[in-house]
Amino acid sequence: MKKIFSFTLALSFFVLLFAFVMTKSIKRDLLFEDYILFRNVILSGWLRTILISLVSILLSLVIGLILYLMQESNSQILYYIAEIHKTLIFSTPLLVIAIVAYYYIGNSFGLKSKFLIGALTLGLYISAYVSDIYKGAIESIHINQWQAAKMFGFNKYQTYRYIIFPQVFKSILPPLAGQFALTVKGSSLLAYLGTTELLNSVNTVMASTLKYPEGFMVVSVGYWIITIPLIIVVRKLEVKVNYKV
Amino acid sequence: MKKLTILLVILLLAFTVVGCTSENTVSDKVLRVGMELKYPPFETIDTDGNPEGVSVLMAISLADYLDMEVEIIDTAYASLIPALESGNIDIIISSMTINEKRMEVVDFSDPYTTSQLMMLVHKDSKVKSYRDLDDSEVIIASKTGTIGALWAAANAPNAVIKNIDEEASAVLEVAQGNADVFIYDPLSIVNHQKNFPDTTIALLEALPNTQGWGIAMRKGDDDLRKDINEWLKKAKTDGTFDEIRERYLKEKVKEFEESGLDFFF
Repeated sequence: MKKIFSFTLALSFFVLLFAFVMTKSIKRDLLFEDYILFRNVILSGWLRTILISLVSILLSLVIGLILYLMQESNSQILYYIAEIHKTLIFSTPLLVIAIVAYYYIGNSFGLKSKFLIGALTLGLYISAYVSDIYKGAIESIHINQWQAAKMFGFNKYQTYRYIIFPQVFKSILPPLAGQFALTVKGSSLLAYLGTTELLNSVNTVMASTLKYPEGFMVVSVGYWIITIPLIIVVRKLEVKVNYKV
Repeated sequence: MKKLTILLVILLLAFTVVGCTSENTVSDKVLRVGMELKYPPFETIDTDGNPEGVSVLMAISLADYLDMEVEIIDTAYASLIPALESGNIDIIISSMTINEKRMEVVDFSDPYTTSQLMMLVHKDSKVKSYRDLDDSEVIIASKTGTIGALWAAANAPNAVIKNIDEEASAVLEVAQGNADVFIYDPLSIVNHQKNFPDTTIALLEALPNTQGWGIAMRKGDDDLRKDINEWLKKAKTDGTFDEIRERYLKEKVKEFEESGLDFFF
């Protein structure tokens, strides 16, 4: 009961702040009719955002694993390919990567689909972070377990398959869910390529109706519907994992 | 290790070969027209999300004249020229003003409007005319890549120029007093002023040194340019433009008349 009270109080602080900003900065009534009129455009943009994020997170899980394995392999060339890829990604803004990927890299390979290039770019981008999540989780497993596995005659594959992955799987879930929330937000940068995802759809409606503050509200709520549940899931998973360890 | 090295070398060679053979030309059947669908009534969408507006009708009519299919490709304004250069689109019809800087990288058709640039000014700003702009204390907001930004850079080199990607943000800069003026076309300026009647003033005085809007194409596409210019001549006289004006610009023409301005399309 006390918890609910505290939450309500905290929330009302933000509502008050919102009301203050509204009365200070927007001196007219909010008009959402235009956004109802354009609901199909916005809805399809919203679905597109979810789809792009899903495809790119799945891609990043696979590419991230490949990157991790490349860095663990005996080949130095593979190691450096992964290393250079990761350094490029950690050091370049996503917006720049997305625009270059579409207008120059994608173009030189004959790729024209904005959806495909967008998902691929995001997937490659997130994969660098995912590979570090894998790395952190796997390295957190105590060296004794590796040695014990070796003693029992497990080969490298068996060690990963039966000892390492089952433990790693649980501990990477929270950071991965967090990464997914980042992917959803990151996908908004694809608006700059004219991909018809949520932000670009709402931007287009804003431009044609001139109802800007309403548009920013619509777009925020659109992202919240996807990201807030994810954030809650992350919190729950974190608690669960911590109990186990 | 050795196999891998060979594989990499082969991949590198493959890139080089592909790189040498690929070429950008207007494909035979589809005319890909780039525009930013955020500028009604010229480029916008209907409630189902289909492209709509003056430029869309122009694209359809032009493609018809050239005996091609048309594909409208929504492209952010600042990316239109890169997209044209890299071959993602064939031409730009996006209310783009003909300008010398742009002509270094693209070719333009004959102008199809008499263009005008005007200013949205914060009410307390000391800017009362375009003559006040070239001053180190004046802050000019403009949308990145638009003619307003290019105009400011060329004609007010001493002013502080803020280039902002979103039109809405640039307008807010002026409405909240963080910038003195926003330079854009009269149509938008009048609309934005209505949104912030207490804090902004629309200065309905045309800025000098501007040209009309043109259709942009890759440098050296001379045949295409000739065709487009012929189509423009025809469209202006055979009623195509009258029809477009009737369908999308009726209200705007009236607004312009009320403000005492000449219409530009």
